[in-house]
Amino acid sequence: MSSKLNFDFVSPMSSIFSGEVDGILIPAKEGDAEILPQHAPFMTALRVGVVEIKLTDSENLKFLIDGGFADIALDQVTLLAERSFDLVKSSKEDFDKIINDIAKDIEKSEDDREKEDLLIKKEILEANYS
Amino acid sequence: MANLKELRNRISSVSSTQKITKAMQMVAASKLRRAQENVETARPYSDKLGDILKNLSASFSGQDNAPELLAGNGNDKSHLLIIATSERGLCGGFNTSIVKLAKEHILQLKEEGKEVKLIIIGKKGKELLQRDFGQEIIDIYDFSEVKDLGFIEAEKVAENILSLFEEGKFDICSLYFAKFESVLSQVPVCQKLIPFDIESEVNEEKDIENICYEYEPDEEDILKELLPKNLSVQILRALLENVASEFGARLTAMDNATRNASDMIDDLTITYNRSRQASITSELIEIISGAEAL
Repeated sequence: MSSKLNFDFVSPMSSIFSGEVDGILIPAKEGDAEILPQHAPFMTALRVGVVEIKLTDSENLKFLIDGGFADIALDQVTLLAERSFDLVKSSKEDFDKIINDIAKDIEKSEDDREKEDLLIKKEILEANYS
Repeated sequence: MANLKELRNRISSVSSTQKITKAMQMVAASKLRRAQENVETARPYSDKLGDILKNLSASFSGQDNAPELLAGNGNDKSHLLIIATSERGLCGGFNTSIVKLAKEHILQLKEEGKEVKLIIIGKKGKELLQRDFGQEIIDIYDFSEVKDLGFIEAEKVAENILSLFEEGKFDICSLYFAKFESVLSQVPVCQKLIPFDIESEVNEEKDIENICYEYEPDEEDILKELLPKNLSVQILRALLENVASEFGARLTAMDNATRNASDMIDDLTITYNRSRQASITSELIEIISGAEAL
């Protein structure tokens, strides 16, 4: 029994992460879920939130996603997301830019649900801003 | 025989044309590499999406409650054709071959008494189709200002298609673009978007593993979210393939043009040298015969 998961994180324009990981936290539609090795086959839609990739005990990667899909089949996990933002490696300027963009979108947005999503995104970004 | 000055002018004009075609060829070659990379990076996403959809749609086949995007709305009266072409010319038969395929299908559909609507992506397609089918064109996308075609553009087109579908403006939607096979061959293809074409999505490499999945939320809701996404991704893939094909076609066309130009220069140089020699000879004969007459 392997204690690692094969994880592919892809967006339409590039492959964001591909490799072996200890576990992944995903923001599933009906609540956050942690995927560990030997998880039962499971497919879920994702909402706006943070994907946390556990590389080792001390090393984590975090991405903000706009929603997407996760396909979990035993030790192979595939995550599809159209837009993602690296919360660990991005620079201050990147954060400023994306927060500004979102603030503008919030003003423009007329759809309540869309607005809610944008507000959640902004909160997550501000919480990770350091 | 043409006079020498004219020949000299023609040689210099052909060689400056050659310089241009050579430059375009090299630009196309370097852009082609990037475009090819883009196609390859987009592939995993659309393949994975295709796999997931295949798994899901298998459980819906033959059922009445399948979403309309998957199974169609049951009619086939009105067809929407999306024709993706390039923004720039000088790429050989690239645009004409796509348009030719589309035209054949349009005429065939019209003969069958179906209603045809067109959405055109790219300036060149508009130029080629506006005269014959100006009435049928409902929308034109011009991405000539966009440097790197990406997901945003594809999403724009997909959203438009979705809203048209929801309004019941068409029943069946297909997409025309050139598939990039190699630098030398780009094949115009027609891909069905709505209803979802399960057959073409089948990946022969691996069978569908019969894993009993758990779905959250249920299959129907996932499918409802996935299908519009799939539409954008398919369009994105078509756009990227098209870009790669365009550069491939331009590369070959410009290579041919450069070679033709150098053949032409060779021919012209020979003619030029011959006529120069002829005029020298005739001058010499004149001098000699003049001297002999004395």
